[in-house]
Amino acid sequence: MLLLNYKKLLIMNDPIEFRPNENEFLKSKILIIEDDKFLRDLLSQKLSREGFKVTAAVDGEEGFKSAVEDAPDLILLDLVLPGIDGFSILERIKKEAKLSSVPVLILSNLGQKEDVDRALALGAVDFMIKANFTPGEISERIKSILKKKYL
Amino acid sequence: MKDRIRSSGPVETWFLIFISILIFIFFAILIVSPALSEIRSTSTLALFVSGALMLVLFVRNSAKLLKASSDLTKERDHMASIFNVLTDGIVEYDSNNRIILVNPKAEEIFGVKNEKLRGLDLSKEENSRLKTVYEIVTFDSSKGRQFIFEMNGEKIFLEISTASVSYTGEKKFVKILRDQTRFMELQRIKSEFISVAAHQLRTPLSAIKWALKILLDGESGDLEPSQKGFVEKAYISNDRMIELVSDLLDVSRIEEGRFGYEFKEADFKEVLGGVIRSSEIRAKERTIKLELKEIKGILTKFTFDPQRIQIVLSNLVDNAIKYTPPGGLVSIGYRQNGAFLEVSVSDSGIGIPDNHRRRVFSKFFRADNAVKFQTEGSGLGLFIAKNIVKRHGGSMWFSSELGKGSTFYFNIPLKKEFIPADERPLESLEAI
Repeated sequence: MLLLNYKKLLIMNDPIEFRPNENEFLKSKILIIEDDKFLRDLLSQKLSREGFKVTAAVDGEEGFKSAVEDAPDLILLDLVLPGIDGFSILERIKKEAKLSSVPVLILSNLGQKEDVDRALALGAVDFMIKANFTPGEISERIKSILKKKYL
Repeated sequence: MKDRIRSSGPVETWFLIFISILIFIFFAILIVSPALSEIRSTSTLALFVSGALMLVLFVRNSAKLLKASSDLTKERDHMASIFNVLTDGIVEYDSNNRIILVNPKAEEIFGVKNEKLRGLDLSKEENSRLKTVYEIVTFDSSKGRQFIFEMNGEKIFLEISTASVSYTGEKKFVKILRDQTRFMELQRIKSEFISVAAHQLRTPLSAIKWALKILLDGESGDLEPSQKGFVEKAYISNDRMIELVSDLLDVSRIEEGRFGYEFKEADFKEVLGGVIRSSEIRAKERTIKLELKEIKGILTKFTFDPQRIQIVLSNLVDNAIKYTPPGGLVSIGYRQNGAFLEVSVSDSGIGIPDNHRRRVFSKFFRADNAVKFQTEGSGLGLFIAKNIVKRHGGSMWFSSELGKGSTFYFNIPLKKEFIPADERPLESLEAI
């Protein structure tokens, strides 16, 4: 982390040499909205170890509030949630000016074609079925999305 | 019914009555004739006898006739009452599509009375119910038996068969309508149950997968080699379970007609290439030779659902590799056959026993020798594959010799016009 901050400082001090650092995204804030405690913890730990700043929310309401208060760089969103479902939260995120450009990666155990199509139509950047990917693979996908965002 | 009329024999009896009338007249003439007065008394007797005979015959025959006609009425009522309680709808119509007869079940299905329908030229009717009746009458059940329509906001599923009947020298037609709405509703509930159960299963399966992966990657401390072996096996088993759940979800969606297809122009050669590349490792592990018999100059860019056809191909290639003993050969080929692309996957494997041929594409079915040879397998792969091909307007079949090998074929149309317009829930027999 220190090394990264140092690199960032160097870039800031040298405007001619300014170019986005390819590891810049590693300090990014990730918001996880996931109701299953075990999955949430496993994923938080994995992403924290990778260097991300992780916040987690148990349901959509809490997640949305947290996102509005402190806009994350990427939101990991489950679809089947207590209370308001993930689709509605996604819709609200995309309508909120402050959050509309934040990439939302759907991480759900739904995943039939119609679910995927619906989420993508609502503005999700990608759709991953939890059972088909490991936390490592999810982390890789987050990195590639953020890389695109920063470049 | 005809037999009964004949046994009462009124025609013969009428003949006897006619004869006795003749005798009666003959003797009556004898009596009145003055020239023959000497035989008058004998004639009078004969007159009485023939008169009595005539009367008896007449009364008997009238009784018989009365009985025959009441038998006919009984028979008609008997048939009508059976016809009326049939739980299948029956519609009889002539070659001009004019309705002759409709049973109460059909009236119930249409929501229109028999009297209103009889003799109506339905092709000109604007009323939506009568239009539905017309659609059913003109329905071509040789292409598929399912007919879905909406009534009072409810979806009605009919299974329609057509028969021709001929009487009084004229050919008439009958449509038999089986109301499958309840069956489809049960099917939907069952599919929904599978779908919910499968989604519910996925969450704990994800947790197991993630936790095992963290253990395997040594992120929570290094594992002893023997421990790692166990965790690896658990990880693989868990992945197999995840795959099974995913197949179950696919099956339930296929049954509901909600699998969701995306037809677009793609290159079949590329899709097949991808499948072969990803199967090569498994083939090598089992020392099986994987061969592609390519015929050059075939148009392989056409409209299909590449993602789904990939599932079909990998199911067939996986099966071929799985059920072929080490050292064997799996050969994949494709060619153009008329308006279709025909694909074949043949192996030198264990083959399919004759008594299991019929059930090869049934879901959850696995042949005895297949189970013995390979314990893994859900019996869902070929069911899914066949239905994907069917949705494309193609078909799937196979030839096999026990102990020598099997070849699975499928074809899909090269022109998008041949792809059925919409996805439908499976009919009762297809869903088995």
